[in-house]
Amino acid sequence: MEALYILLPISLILGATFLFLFILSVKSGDLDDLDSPAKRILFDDIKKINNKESMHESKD
Amino acid sequence: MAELSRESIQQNTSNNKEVSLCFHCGLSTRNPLQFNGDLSKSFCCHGCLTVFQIIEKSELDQYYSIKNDSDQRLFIPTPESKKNFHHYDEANFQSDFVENIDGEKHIKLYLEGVHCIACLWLIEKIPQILKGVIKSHFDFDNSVVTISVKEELALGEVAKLLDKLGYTPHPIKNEDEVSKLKANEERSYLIKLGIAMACMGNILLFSISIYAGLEGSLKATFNWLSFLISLPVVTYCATPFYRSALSSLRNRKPNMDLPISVALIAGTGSGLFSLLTNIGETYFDSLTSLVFLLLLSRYCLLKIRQRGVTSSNLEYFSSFGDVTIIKSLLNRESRSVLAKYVSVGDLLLISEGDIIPADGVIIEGNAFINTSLLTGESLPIKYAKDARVLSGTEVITGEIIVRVNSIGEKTKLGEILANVKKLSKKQTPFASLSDKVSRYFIVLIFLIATLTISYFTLIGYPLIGISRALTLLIVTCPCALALATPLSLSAAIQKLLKVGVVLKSEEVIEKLNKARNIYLDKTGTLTEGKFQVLELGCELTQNFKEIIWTLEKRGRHPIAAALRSYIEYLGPTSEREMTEWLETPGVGVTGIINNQKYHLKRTPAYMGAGTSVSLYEEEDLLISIVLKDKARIDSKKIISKLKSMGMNPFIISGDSKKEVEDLALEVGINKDQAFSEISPEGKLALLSKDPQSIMIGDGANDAMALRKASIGIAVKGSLDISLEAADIYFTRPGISSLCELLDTSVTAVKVIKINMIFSLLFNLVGSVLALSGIITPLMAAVLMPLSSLSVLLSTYLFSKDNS
Amino acid sequence: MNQKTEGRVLEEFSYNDKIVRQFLYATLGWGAVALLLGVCIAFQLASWKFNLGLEWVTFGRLRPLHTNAAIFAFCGNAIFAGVYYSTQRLCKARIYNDALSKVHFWGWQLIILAAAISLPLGYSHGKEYAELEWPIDLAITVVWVIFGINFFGTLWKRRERHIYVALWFYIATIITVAILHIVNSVEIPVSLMKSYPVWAGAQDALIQWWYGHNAVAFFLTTPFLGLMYYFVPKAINRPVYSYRLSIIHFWSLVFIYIWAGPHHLLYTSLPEWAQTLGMVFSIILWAPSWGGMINGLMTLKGAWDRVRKEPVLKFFATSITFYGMATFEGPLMAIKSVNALAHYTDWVVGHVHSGTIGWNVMIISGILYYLIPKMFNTKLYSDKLANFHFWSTTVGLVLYIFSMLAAGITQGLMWRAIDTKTGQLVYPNFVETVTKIVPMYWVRAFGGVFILTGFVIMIYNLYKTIKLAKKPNDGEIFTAYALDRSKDLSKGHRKLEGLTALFTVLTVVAVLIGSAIEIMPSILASKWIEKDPRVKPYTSLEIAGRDIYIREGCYVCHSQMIRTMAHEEIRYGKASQASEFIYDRPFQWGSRRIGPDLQRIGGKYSDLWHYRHMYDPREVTAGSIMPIYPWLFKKKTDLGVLTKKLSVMKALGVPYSDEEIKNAKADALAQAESITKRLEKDGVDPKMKNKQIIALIAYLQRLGVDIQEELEIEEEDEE
Repeated sequence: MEALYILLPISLILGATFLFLFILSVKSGDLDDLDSPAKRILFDDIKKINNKESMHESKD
Repeated sequence: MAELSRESIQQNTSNNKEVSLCFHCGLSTRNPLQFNGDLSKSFCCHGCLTVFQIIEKSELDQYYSIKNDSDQRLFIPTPESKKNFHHYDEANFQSDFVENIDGEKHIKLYLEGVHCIACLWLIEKIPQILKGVIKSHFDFDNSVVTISVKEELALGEVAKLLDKLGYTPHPIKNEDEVSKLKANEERSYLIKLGIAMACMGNILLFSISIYAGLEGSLKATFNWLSFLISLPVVTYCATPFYRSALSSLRNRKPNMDLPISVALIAGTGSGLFSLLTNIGETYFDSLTSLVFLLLLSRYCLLKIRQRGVTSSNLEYFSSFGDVTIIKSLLNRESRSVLAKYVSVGDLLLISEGDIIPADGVIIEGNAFINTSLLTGESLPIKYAKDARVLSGTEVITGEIIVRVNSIGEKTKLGEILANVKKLSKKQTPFASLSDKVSRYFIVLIFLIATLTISYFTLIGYPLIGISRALTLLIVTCPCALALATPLSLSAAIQKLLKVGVVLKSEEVIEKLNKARNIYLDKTGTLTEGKFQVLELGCELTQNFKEIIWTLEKRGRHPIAAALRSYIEYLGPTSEREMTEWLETPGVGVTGIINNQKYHLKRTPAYMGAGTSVSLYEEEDLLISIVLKDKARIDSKKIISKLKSMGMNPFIISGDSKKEVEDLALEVGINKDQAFSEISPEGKLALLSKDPQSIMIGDGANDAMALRKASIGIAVKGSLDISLEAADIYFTRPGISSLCELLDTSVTAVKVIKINMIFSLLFNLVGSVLALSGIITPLMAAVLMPLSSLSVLLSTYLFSKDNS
Repeated sequence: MNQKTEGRVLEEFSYNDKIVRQFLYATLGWGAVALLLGVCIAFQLASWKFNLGLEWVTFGRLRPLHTNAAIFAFCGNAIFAGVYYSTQRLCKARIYNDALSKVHFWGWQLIILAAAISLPLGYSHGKEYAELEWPIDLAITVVWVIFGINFFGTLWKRRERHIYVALWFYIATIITVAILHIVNSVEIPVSLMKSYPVWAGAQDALIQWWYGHNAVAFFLTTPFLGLMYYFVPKAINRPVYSYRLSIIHFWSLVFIYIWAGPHHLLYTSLPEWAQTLGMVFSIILWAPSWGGMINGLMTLKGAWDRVRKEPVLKFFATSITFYGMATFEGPLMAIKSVNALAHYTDWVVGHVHSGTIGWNVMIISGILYYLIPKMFNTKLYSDKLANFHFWSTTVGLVLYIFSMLAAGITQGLMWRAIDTKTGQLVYPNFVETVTKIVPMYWVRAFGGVFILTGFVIMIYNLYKTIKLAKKPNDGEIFTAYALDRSKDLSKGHRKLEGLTALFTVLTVVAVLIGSAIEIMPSILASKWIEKDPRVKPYTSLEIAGRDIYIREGCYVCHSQMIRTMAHEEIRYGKASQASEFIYDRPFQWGSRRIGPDLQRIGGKYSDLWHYRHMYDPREVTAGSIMPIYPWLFKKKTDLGVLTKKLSVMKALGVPYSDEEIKNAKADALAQAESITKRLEKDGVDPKMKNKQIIALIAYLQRLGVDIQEELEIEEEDEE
């Protein structure tokens, strides 16, 4: 099975790449809070209200 | 968001007005409030109404569509709150809690009362509500919001808005060392876990090919690759085990991690040895799966324990809020500041319901102060001008100005705290069952290993002896044993968290199992802790209610407050117009209502403890009401249950003998087990006599006893220092969760024992196979996960059966 | 236009939805084409007349077109549409570069067009799901890299710190598919539209099916799991069931997934341990797949009343269930004893389509029904039609799966039936097993019609939705705060270092693969391959015949691998040895036996039998469903290119001598003449010697002959 001398390094490198990406994502704090991201994708984006008074106008 | 008990609300609906649903929180309410005439939307209270107005004004009504979508109906109305958060803008508050990065103020707040994704949505929309707020990011997991605000906006405003929306904020130290360390520690654990899983997965695949009969040059390549891939696991990922093994060796108390570390090192060594000389087998797959399984169980334990009370989220439960300081008696201009920043000589204006944050002397006004938290007496005592007040006591009615003469350590409370800290240092570390077993286990294994080596060197095959001994070490490494305790403990912690019991550490569960006598504090634990109307003989008619209500409307005596809350509890009563009203402190109240003279006098208590009050029309007695610090409804049931579980409960309290004996009778504890009028030092002495004891209390006077007892339990509403001193904290009032706690600890220890037997069984089989030399890596690879799986299964089965 | 506050910049941006709509229209178009092709080839199997006797529409050439169209054209465009739409929303940023997106879109459509032309003309590479010739392979790599740049650029420009799990699935797809494609398309070109792969025989088989399974995994599963994790929560407006489970599911999947593949080669001449590894690994794969299914289905928990009414949710719920069924059936079929029955039968086709139609077609339809009304902010034209589409697809698919299951098991059992008394096969004549299951092919064909009609109705439905809607407002502007890079910079350039690190890793991977591929031929030619002296390279005419075999796609119905089982050795002869295939570039083991196995066909029938069989199969075997190949009797064999072919083969390690290469043409002609002379007495015109049929006969008669010759010599020595 000499083809393994190609498949083996490639698969290991691929595994190592994703392990590296995993470490990167843990370090950048992606996995700290695993509840709110699932909810946050549901909220629509904040639309820019161009003509009316800008949303930051204080209303109270 | 204070939780108005639902029964009281339901009671309102009993009378006939048709019920409508509060638009904001969905609670059914009898007399709804309208939002400027719009009949379609009704609200159960001002709190909900204000929240609705805020949402309406900033066009965020999508909140309600999300809320209905996620259909998590929680009938908790938003309480009306008038607190202003000026102390957020104090200089020292800012230095502690606020971080300015180039012109922006960042603050982290723990929010109570967030319960659904609509709340998350609303909190993150604050920039749209309040101008000047740049960004608010909410972490749902530990319900902490990080808000960044422009320079010119006062943080008090943000806190006020949050409070009005029903999410009372508590400031958290910004990026203080503890939470940063905790986050890094958890991340490094996660990285180790990831690496272990990746390497284990790939090595398993290599070893499967070898088990399936791979021969020739590829087999050598696969073996070498497995060795190379296992290196990071055995070195980097296993560092927690080596570190704890070394520290356990240093203080000569070997714990569970020692055999694990030895197995890892021996396994890798023998693997390398057999690779070089191809004698013996390689066990890289078993080693890496061992490391992975242990890291996984430790990580789960870490995550579950985090939800318990830790030092960083301790101050959420703290009772010291903010305090108003006035410049001087004449110029009443006041500024509010966090209790921590009060200094000697300040004049504190303390009004109804506040807790006195420091020792001092009253220089104006008088009030009834409840000192149960400090001394344990339940009857509120009247304090007038020039009386000394101690920190930790609570003003029930009236308003006083106190000049502070000692703060922090020097206050009485501070002394107790110092003793508590002193006590905790001397605590002997608790040797858990698994540590004890592992000690014998290691000695036994090393003994057998040396025996095999010497036996085989005697009969001339030293190499076989060494390889067998090494295999023995690897195969019998206590993977199941190491998993047994953490798994059952984490299952127990998980179950207790659901019941509202928060543990500081998991050893407590094993200690609980040994304790037999329970010392219960009276005020606040067995009793409600505040003055309440006891059930009264005859029925309180509607017009009696109205008379008492009118008489006591402006009364400032705690009895008046107790009566008012009882009547409010029964339902809305209208006030009669009254012409004359006279309050004679210490005696009672008289008033003329539609030219009938009524007076409410304090009469000597004829029925046991507590005080009673009678209502006279002119001279004839209409009704007499007994008031006392009532026992909690479930205390009696719990005490009888404790007795049936073979525990013997005691009462120790600072309260008067009469009160204590009366409660003991009511709750079913015989007289000689009820100690009364005991000082904090007395309680400490009593506890130190009995090392295997549980102490339950809330007040400062129990703090030292809580620390001394083998297990200290602080009840909801206790002071910070008892929280600090206790090992367990009940988030539900009273001692209702005590039985669950004892049950769970019994099952947990039972499960640990069963798991121990399982793992020792597996180790026996393993060692027999290893010593007889017929073990192959495949068998080891099967034995390892099998033993951990059986332990996992038994934990799941046994800890579930009696819940 | 950005409001500058000191620390953080409030940026304004708008999404590029034009590219998404383009990909959506392409998905609809190519989807219809792929399903139409599917129905055609289904009818061609039901009755051979549907091949119309035309060279360009015969089953052998249309089936590769169907698979490539369905996977790369239909699912490919759907992935791009879904990824472009969701990535921009998840990153709160416009796609990295609009120009690149256009190049990506038109490049991909050109590739599909090239495939649609080259495959019917017979320019096939001979490897399943990788049939496209080398120029198109290069184009695919270029377009895929452009897609990668566009995607990672958006990730780098994102304004939402957390990388949602769907984005991780897209990252895994892009990186892995790139590597799979490169490794499996390493071939040395002979001419513009012909090339030979670097590997041969068993090695080529292992790499092909390592690519084959992972193409299914990383092209038809992980991207769609990503789309599921975005579109299902969005459609039902509730968070995913357990975000933690999806993170665990992703990372456990990705660390070790790449090993799958050998379960396509059980009981073949792959070494025993590799087969067991393949089996065990496929069974492990069952866990992460079901992790995904549970997460998807449980997100719909508590809203089943909406699932009953709304077509979008109906499609999502059914597609996730089919994903669960297919990924349970897969590991089951990978178990050796089950595989012994299932391999080469139609049951495999049933399993494949329960995955592709059940999971991919349905989830894409769900996304289309959700996305198009949303992008034109209007309502779907008619829910009734959508429900009809749903039911026609479900009924069609059930018909498909059960007919193929029945056919597959009948085939498997009939092949292996041995009469215990005589020890002979109960059904020695292969065509008996074929005629038995022809009715099943009709049922499957009609199932296909249901699915196609459903799809066409969806196109009509969506067309009307778009027609009635007003123009989509592309210009809508959103605002979000830039990621405060300050925090990262203060933490030692983590973000910057993050991305550069990623690119360094990718370049290292590319360099490694490149170097590994250079050294590969030298390894192959070296001594390590256990050579069998009896096996000699093909003659030049046989090479020409073999290329015709590949061009006509004979491997689509015929396998060339006799498995190590009693009934196969009785029916076909000695089990195939790995050493027999060392000169087969590309390997032609095949994956289905609609026709019998051809590995030992050499010498079994006379040249005349083949001559008349290729002209009209029913002349020699009544009831055969094989199409007719009249054009082989008209077109001439291209002998000129043979010298170039042999020199390329020599470069790849086949021991041709120089003069063999020099007079390849002459040798071929001589061998052709000798075959035609033998056929003359049966009335075959000698002029036929340069026709392609002769070259094909030469190749067929050589198959599996080498090993048999040796046997006689060995006996002689003993005497």
